[in-house]
Amino acid sequence: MKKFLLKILIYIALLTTIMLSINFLYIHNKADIDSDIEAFANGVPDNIQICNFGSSHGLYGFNYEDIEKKYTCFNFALSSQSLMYDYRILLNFKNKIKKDSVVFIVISYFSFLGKTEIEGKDFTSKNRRYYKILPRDLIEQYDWETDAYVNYLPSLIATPGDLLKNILSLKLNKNNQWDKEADAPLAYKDAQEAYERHIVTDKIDKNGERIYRQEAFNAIYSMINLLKEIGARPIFITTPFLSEYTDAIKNNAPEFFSEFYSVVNEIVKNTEVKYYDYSHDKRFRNDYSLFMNSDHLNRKGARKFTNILMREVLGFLE
Amino acid sequence: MLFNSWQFGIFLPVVFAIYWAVPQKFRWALLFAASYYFYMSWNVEYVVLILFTTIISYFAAIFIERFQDNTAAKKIILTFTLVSCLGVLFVFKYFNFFSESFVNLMRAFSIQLHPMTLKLLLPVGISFYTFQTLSYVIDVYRGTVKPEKHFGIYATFISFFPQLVAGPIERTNNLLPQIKAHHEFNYEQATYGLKLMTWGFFKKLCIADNLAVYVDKVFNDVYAYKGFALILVTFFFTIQIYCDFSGYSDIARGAAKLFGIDLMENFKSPYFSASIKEFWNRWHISLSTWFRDYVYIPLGGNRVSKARHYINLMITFIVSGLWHGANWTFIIWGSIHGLAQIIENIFTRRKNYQPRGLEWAFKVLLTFTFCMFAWVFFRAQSFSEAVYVFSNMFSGIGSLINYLHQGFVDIRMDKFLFASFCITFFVMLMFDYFSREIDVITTLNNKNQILRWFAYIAIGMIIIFLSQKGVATEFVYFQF
Repeated sequence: MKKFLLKILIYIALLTTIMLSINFLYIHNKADIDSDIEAFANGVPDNIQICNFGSSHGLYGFNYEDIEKKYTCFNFALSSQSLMYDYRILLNFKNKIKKDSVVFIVISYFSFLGKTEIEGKDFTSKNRRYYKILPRDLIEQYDWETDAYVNYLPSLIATPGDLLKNILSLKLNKNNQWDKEADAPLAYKDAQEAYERHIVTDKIDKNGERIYRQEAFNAIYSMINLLKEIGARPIFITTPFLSEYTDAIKNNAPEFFSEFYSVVNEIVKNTEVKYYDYSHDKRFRNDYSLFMNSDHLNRKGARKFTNILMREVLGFLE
Repeated sequence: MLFNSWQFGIFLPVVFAIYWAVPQKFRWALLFAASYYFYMSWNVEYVVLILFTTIISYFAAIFIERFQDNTAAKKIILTFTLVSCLGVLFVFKYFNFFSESFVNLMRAFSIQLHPMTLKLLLPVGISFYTFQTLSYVIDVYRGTVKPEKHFGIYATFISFFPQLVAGPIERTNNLLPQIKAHHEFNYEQATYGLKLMTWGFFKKLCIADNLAVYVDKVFNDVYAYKGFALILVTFFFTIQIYCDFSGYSDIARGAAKLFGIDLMENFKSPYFSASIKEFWNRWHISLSTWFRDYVYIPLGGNRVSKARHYINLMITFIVSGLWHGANWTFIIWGSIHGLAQIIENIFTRRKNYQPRGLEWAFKVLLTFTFCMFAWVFFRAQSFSEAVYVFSNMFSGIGSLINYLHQGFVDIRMDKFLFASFCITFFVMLMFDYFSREIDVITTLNNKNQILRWFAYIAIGMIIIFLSQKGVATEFVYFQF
């Protein structure tokens, strides 16, 4: 028995040593921060005057580079971020937002659709990133195991490619997708997939009825109340899309837009918050050079869009 | 409590340490308590069901022995036990299925009825322990096994935690004497057990769980996919279900060995079978032999007319399909395996012929392909989903390169993940290939110490870095 236990201990000790060494190398060599939370990792500034929330439509739709010298700006959006997490992030960083600031809340077509947050696709993997951003009480279904992996043993949850690259300090060509430009055939195909993903998959029940998330409505009303408490000015925004995307929805679900706008108008009426819809804006909808795919602006498009917002929506700041 | 959870990582060493520290006479009690704690960690209430099944079968066996000269009384007791144990299984697993199927049948005759359904969670492992219980009572009835008088030891036999929730479905003659026997710690057996567990974890965590991500993504939204993506995930599911279930069996057998108990082998490289018959001799052996001994042979087996033999085969496979789940897809899956065996039987002239070389390789490939496509019925949620998979899996094949490329694009499989899958799949394939002839673990034990430790460390590191983290995924067969 002694020999058995001793060998197990040696085995565990060896495994632990190698694992911790690899983890150390991984953390030490990791040059690029996860692109998703890059902005948060660099620090959320104080006295924010202009900021936005939202999913990838918000993340890629705002580019503050032309106004950053004049105003303190921040992009709180993350890919696939729900309105519930928009609210939790706002709760956590509310003290960083200045009185009289302007807060854009991005509303996408799918913002209010789908099953509950924890039933959503990729909930576990998407939820992990908030362990680096938010305190535990604001993380949905917090567990210490994930916390340990994310914050102390990240090599164990890295993808094989990421692990290899960082252990060996490989410099692989990583094209920044935000700089890409869309083209017609790809945009068409992408739009069809995006339509399925955003409007159909897990968003229609057995009877063919659209599933609405009550928790998303609660979150948006809570956000508005909190922003009004802070003294900030909330504005609802729908970012520009290529015509392929809006057409895919119009052709496949002709009734969708009237449903969507009636939901948004109800919220606008209840909250008295202004809503600006750029989803069909002619300055964008047919210009592939401004998009990286059918529904996401690229860096250039985001810059143009943000500048338009500043002129058209935030004229009062001047 | 899943095998792949940190709770089990604490539970097993604690039970192991206490087991070897306490005197032999208390060990059954420890295993009994540990097993019930293990089972209650899923759902405390369902312990009542396993206790009910255990008590009924315990007393039934004793009464059967008492009335051994009274065939009518024995039959009544056996029937009562079968009805009681299978009744529990029926209510929890099959009631809704039969109720809905009956309503659908009536609808075909324009009779409108509302199905009566029960909102019950399926207790984990109910099919496994029910079948183990039944085999005990039937064996006592047949006189091949003596009833166990010690209730605690009998209850431990039914609930022995390593094999409680997903088998192997043990036979009385193998497991019960081992629970009663005096055990001395055996270094070789314990280290073999740990190595077997490690191999099981490798298959479950590094292969099955990683493939499950893609399989679930596609099969949970199957109508959004077509073309090669459907073939890819069908192939992935073929590998996933094997690694998941045989991984569980290896962990179970390995854990049992730590307590000096040898469970039966449940898988013997099934995907290296050259026929469907051979596949069933290598796949889920404890269930296949159960059906052979308690369904197929009592029906007459092959010692009847050809037509009757084929009917027996079909009945056995349909029941086997139904055992897996209360859905028509499982019945179809069982039926096509039964049908394949009948066809094989018709066209096989030399009964004990063993193909070799290229012929063997071709037949293995053919059997594998058949099994792979049959798994579609097993994985699909409904018959129409399975039909959709079959009718769309070759869509776009006219442009072959684009067809293959699009498949990978559709499932969004990262190239590094694909490379890691290829490596782990190759390791698994080699292990299984050599396992046909030799015991790979024992062979490795005889190799140079440095080589051995290198292999142990390598597999340990692969498990640590390539397994899914933060999600303890259930084993597929738990649902049965």
